[in-house]
Amino acid sequence: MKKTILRSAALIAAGLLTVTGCSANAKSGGTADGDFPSKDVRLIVPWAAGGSGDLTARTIAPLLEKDLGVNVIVENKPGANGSVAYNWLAEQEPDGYNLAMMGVEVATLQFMDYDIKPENYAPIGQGLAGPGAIAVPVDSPFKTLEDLIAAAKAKPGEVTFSSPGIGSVWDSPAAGLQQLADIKLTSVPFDGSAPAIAAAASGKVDFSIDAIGSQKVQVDGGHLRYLAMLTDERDPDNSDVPTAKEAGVDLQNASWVGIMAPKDTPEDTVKKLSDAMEKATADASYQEVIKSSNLVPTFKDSTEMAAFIQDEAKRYGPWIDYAKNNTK
Amino acid sequence: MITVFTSPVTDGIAAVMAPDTLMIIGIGILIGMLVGAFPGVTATMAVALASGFTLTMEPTQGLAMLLTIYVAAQFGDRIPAILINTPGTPASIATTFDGYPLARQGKAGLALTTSALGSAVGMICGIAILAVAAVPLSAFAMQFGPAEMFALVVFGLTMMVGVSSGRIFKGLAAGAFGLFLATVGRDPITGDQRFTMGILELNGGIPFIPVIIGFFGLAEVINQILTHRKGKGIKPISQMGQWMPDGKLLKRLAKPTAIGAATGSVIGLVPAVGGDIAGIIGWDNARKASKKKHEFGKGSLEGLTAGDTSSTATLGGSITTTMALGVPGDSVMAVMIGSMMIWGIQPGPGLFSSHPDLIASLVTILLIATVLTLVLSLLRMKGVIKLLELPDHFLWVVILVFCMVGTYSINNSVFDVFMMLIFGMVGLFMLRFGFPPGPAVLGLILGPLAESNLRRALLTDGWASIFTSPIAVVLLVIAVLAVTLPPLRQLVRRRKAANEGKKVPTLQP
Repeated sequence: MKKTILRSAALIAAGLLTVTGCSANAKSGGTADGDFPSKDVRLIVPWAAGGSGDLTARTIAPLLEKDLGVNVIVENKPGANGSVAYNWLAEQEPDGYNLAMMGVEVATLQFMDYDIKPENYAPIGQGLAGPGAIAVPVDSPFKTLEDLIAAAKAKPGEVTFSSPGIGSVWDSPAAGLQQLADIKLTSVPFDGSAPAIAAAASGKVDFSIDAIGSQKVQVDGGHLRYLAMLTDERDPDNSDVPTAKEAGVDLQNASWVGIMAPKDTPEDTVKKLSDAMEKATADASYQEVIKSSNLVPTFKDSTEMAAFIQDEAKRYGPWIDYAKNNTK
Repeated sequence: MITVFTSPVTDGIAAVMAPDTLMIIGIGILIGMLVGAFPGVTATMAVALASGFTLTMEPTQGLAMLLTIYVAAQFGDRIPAILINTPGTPASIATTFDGYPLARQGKAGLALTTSALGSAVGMICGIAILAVAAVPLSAFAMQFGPAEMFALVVFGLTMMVGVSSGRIFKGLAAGAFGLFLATVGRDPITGDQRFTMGILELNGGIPFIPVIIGFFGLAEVINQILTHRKGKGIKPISQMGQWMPDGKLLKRLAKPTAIGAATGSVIGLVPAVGGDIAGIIGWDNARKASKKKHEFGKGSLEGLTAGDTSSTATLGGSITTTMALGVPGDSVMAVMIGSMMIWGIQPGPGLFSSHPDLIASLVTILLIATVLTLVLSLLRMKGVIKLLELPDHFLWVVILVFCMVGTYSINNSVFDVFMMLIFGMVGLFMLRFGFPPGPAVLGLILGPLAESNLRRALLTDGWASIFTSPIAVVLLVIAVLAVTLPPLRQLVRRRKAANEGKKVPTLQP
């Protein structure tokens, strides 16, 4: 309720005449009865306002509006790692009018004792990816990933890394690194990416494992140095940095953001939403916003996404178990 | 925005002085004051929502909008804190300690003006720091890792004694209760559930803004309703006597203002620590230094000034840390970083060399916003005070509605409203039995920070990581002194008095 007050206040404030919220209702009468969509669509953001996921929702909503011809109302419902919103969505009518943004947590919360099953949702599509990297303080003795692995082999448990929290999209691949390279590291989980990366930049831990784009600030500022990219191919913007695979560790990971609906949403509705999302993610304004957040605009449609989420669950399950058993 | 013609400083200022930017600052002030005065609606939330609309603006204008909301909210949130004992945002928790008692003594007008002046002074001190020493100071902020954070938080926890207003044992009991509440939720390191009792929302811990609104706002209203029935309740007297502080008073307030400004400026630099904690620490520092300690918590203008100056002085430091390190100085700044990246301004170590005009722009925006907000605050003071002239039963309804709607709006969550109601009842119990709410809130805010940072420090290098850090050791020593010195001093004084008492009779005969 207050949100609408704030919204309108901010709108008036901005002095913008691009009022999308209050005037478009009349338009939606144009669609035929029973045809989706014939009323406003709600897009729930499972995170607090202000993060990159929230930003994605607010950037994509007006583009979806343009294509669907109805309002897309963005609403934040943060809490308990996103599970408050995910649970809420699972209980909504599967009619396509209630959607939620999603991250990899949809696939992984089940391994952290949350009652979130990927089967309860119908994915619409993926909107972006944030491929990962391992970065060390500039003055670190490690010049390559091999150095780091050798040091960890020599003194098991003494090499430390910072992550945005156990079970998170970046703590988990560190478990993968330990399994693949057969080493033992000490995880120091922080409350989010920014403090975790800052801890590595000031040398409090030996390395940071996070999204390339999130580490970029400290790399550009001369505090961090990329050691290896967790990508298939070398990152075009950092072509001098080898991939982990080149260093003998076949590890790739990326964070991602997508949109989903409750399960049993009619196929043609999902298709319509997925198509609208494809157009929106190809839009120049969307691409610009995502790129300037140091993320990669990426689209996967609903079918690809369903398979992808299953794969993610298969990858993360053992990683999270490993991390839980090896964190003090 | 980045046109390097003459000097980056003049360019930066000129960019802000454009009429459309000034108009945006005006609008930002209106939003910010509205948001601040509404309990539950935090500056963080307002900035987050506004950032959706500022993305399409020019960077200078967008920054002007967001920063102005931030600044103005710091003035607006004092009003409910003073008038109805409910902090408008967590940054004004310390304002309630003395502001509300002052209002009950019929000095609401004086409290509001003093608070606004103190806030403005704090803001300007913070801005001065940003203008003069942004880059070198950010190097200091960079030193704050888990060990240093832990030591700072331990120092913060010693404030529990101070905010107990004399009732040490009940205060510590309340503090322990707050610390216990802080353990609810997921373990910060292992992610295991603790005391969540199968309630999904509790996985994220006990949300502290609903607790604050319950403790301070709801508890107070219910208490008034209860005492009112017994006969003649203590009616808030609308406003008597002076509005503006006179010369004598201003002189007396100089010391707490200086203490508050210094405290807030330093704390503001520490990443992730904001005005809520700084306000409480500033208040307690001023109390320790004051000659009228007993007045603190019962309506001390010194306490009010120190707390408000300190909590606003953090703003300059927060911006410094954010811009120069790329590490959010507080939760508002965490939101602003996202917007700035879209505008192509990447906060971080390279920012001030790539955008030399930016500091000048930031400082100009903040200064204009501060001065205009102060003027507006002082102008509309008399209107705001009218709220207190409402008959009690209308006022209660207004406060209750504010508490409910404000709490719901934090996360659009009914769960939060229930928490607010439950903690309103707990707060009522505490109020009736003389347990001060301040230590409990302090425990709830600082508990998770203390635990997670201690455990992170221990993970990296064991206890050595704490005792090899000079900053951490100094802070811990200060914390120990803060707890042990006052009782020791009292003991020495008592012994001296006893010795003198003995001497006198033995010498006389």
